[in-house]
Amino acid sequence: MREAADRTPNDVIVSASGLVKHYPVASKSVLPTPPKHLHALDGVDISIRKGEIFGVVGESGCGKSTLGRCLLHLTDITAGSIIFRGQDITHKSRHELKPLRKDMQMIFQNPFSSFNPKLKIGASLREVGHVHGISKQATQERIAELLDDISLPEDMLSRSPGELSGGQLQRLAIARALLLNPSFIVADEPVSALDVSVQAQILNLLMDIRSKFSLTMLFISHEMTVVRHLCDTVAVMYLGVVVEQAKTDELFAHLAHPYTQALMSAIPRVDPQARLERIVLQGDIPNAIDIPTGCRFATRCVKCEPVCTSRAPALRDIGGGHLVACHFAKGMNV
Amino acid sequence: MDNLLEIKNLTVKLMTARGLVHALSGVNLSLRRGEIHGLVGESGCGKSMTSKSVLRLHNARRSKMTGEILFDGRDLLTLSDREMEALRGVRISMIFQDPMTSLNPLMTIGSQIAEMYRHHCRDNKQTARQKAIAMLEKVGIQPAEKRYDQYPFELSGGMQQRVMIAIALACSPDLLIADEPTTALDVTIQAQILELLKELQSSMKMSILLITHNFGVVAEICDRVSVMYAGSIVETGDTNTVLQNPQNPYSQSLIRSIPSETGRIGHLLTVPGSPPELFDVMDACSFAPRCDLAAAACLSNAPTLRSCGTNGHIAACHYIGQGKGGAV
Amino acid sequence: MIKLLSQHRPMLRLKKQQGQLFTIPNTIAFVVLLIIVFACALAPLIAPYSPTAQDLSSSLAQPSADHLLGADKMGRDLLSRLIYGGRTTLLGSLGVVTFSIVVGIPLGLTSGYIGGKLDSLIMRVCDIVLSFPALLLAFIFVAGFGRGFSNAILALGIVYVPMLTRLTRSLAMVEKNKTYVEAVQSMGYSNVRIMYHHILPNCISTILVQIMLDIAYAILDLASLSFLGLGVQPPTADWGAMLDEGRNFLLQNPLLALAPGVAIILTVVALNIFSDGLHQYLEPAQRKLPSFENYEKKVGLING
Repeated sequence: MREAADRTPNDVIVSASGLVKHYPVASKSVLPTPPKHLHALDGVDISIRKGEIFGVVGESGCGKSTLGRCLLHLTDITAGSIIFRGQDITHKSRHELKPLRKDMQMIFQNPFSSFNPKLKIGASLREVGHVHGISKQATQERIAELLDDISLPEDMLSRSPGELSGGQLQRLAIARALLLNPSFIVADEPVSALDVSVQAQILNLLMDIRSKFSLTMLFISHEMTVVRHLCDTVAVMYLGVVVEQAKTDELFAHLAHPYTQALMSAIPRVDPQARLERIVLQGDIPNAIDIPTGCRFATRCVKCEPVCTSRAPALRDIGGGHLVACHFAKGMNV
Repeated sequence: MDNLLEIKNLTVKLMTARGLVHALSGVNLSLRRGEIHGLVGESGCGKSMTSKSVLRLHNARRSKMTGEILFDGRDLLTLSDREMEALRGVRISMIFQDPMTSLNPLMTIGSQIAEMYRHHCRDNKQTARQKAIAMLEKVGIQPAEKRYDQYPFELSGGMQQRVMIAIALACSPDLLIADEPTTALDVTIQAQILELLKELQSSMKMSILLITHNFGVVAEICDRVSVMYAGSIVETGDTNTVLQNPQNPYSQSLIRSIPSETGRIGHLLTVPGSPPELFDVMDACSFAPRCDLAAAACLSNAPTLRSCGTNGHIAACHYIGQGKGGAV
Repeated sequence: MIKLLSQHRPMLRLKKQQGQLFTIPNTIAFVVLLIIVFACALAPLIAPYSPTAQDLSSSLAQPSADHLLGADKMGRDLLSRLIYGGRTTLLGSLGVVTFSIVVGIPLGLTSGYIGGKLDSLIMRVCDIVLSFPALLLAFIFVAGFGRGFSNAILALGIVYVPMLTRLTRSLAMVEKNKTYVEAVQSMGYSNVRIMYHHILPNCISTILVQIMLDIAYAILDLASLSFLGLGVQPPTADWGAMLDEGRNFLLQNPLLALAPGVAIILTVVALNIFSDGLHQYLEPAQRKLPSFENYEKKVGLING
């Protein structure tokens, strides 16, 4: 994102450039072989402005969860840099990061395992304040406020996680993330494990707190309909790279990348009017260890041409900030 | 209109550490020959329990079933264990949600399919192998001969699900029960699997009971759909009819809470509260505590499924025919 | 009004209740243990004689009013030796287990949670210790530091460490990957806090069961060591040592061997039963449920 450098630091809460994350893969052979790596992220640039909800969407193995964790520096990065509120945190140690942890929080996918099963909810929440040196009094008040925001009664605090439902637990996880008033939250598929009606409740809640707390959020999901509903900007990832990115309305109005088009068309629709001509992709998502040369999507793309397998397309702007990584990008009207 | 499967007043009580759970309270469902019937509901509503009951896969020591399950005229609940075994895999088959744990990790995929032929059709090794390879090709696993000797962990989620479908359809059953077969799969793979199921259903002329929580899937592939809530069916009808014009308040709220497909509209419409825990059974509508339209009648009498439209559209609500239930 | 068709009467509640822990077998085991522990603690008050008081005129005496269980070769009262001997044995086994807890649990947690090279190092050390049979290690200690009860306890303690370390480590490795651990890591909690405040409580029920079993094993192992003369030295009373002496006089007074033998068996069995019950109590998910018919009878449903 070249534009990011032009904006004032106050505007951009978190940005990363050239983010690469490789996991070493143990060789199964006795003979010495060149080391292999799982390419979770292969050069991702991202820039999130204050108050923005940035959506990242893709299927399993595309690297979206890894991206979230890298931005929060929960795992080490193979290459690239991360700037959080003007500070370069790429090489900071765990100890140096601790004071920053107050400012960046995460909401996880599985609400049932997000809390320590042996602690009552109240104890879990109070501990957060305790570890960061906030007075008991202040923590109690904050918890009470947040319970109000998430519409749950006080007696929730004396219950164990095992007694609560997915929806209640996810609300509490949101409250926990908001406890220290962070400037940035990563939500890793927060509604994927929930029933449809509960999903709706949680999405409504996220919209409410977004306006109340002017949240900046990275929203990770595999469902385009959810992302469309909630996010300002959307990036589509495939096999460790961003293949398309634009403001939500623009993206959904003009799907430019063949993968995005296939993804949209694959969603089963209730309304027959909303159904797109089904592009059924052949084959499976290739493994992230042996990345094909050229465009990563070439093996499954319906529009594949010889140039696609020899040269990897770079992300280019096709107008109005709409980025696409395809040699033949042109918009598809929905 | 021949009903292949008729579930009449099925009630299942389960014993758990937290008490007696009334998992199913009088389920009434009919599945016609050659149709794909969707069973929709949220977690805990009993849809998986219903499917397991048809095949009697539940823990007999911990549960009690009453009612009738008529398959092709025979009541499955009266059959002995041996008679049930003769039906499973041969006339009624099932596929499950997570293919990784449903396949035997220690056997090659080919041999798992061949096992069906050897066990049920008493084929010898060679014949079973031939048939298994043919089945692999039928479900779109190429090249079949090479893949025959692969193990489940070597395949992707979508492939594993295809293998499971191959195993289930090996002996050409009349009824396939698919318990959330695509929930654990990516959306592009889901599209492939749904295509495959549609193809196989028409070429093999079988019926499918498809359990899912995704209305989109129902809209794409099911002929008819039933909605479940708190252990019983609250609405049944043609897919289009139910989706365009649901008559039961719960069905209505469920359909309304799907994120809009045509653009952002702001807050989603939701129903406060959550489904009841199934410990107490009351002679009242189980949705009443959360329903806008609830009245005295709803709290004192459980509504039964009544006709509310054409072609077998039935719903359970006291307001049907009084003009209060209606279009979304 | 809402007509209830069936009443909810949960038979087993997830909340911990007194009744849950003290089922019939558990209570019996617990009472037996209490009796044994109290008897040994109150030895000076209830033992009729000193355990080392010799009376050669009563050598190998039969049970009588004077000596309720008889006397051994040196004329020492068997009952008194049994009670005092229990002290030695129980304290000894507790010492062994305490040592293994203090060393083993932190090692296991660190190994499992931190992982990496530290984990490999700790595991290799454990492997080395495990490869020594307990008795061999005890012999080495004796050779190095002389005979004595404390040396036996130390030797045994060292041998018990690897098993507890391994158990703790594997439990920690499972917990480490759970979402709530990742959540607290993302909130900047220190490693120490995560290990002891979050991971350990989630492993403790299984570890506790192992510890109770270890107490039982320690009693047996200490008895074997004493049997071979490596544990307590005469004239200190100890169940194992008494078993050793008693077997020489099975014809004259079988109680000399039987009494300590039965005491050992009783303690070990009671510990096993109680630890099993404790585990069931601490892990509700693994409780056994009765059959449906029995359940229905107990709960007495209104409408079938």
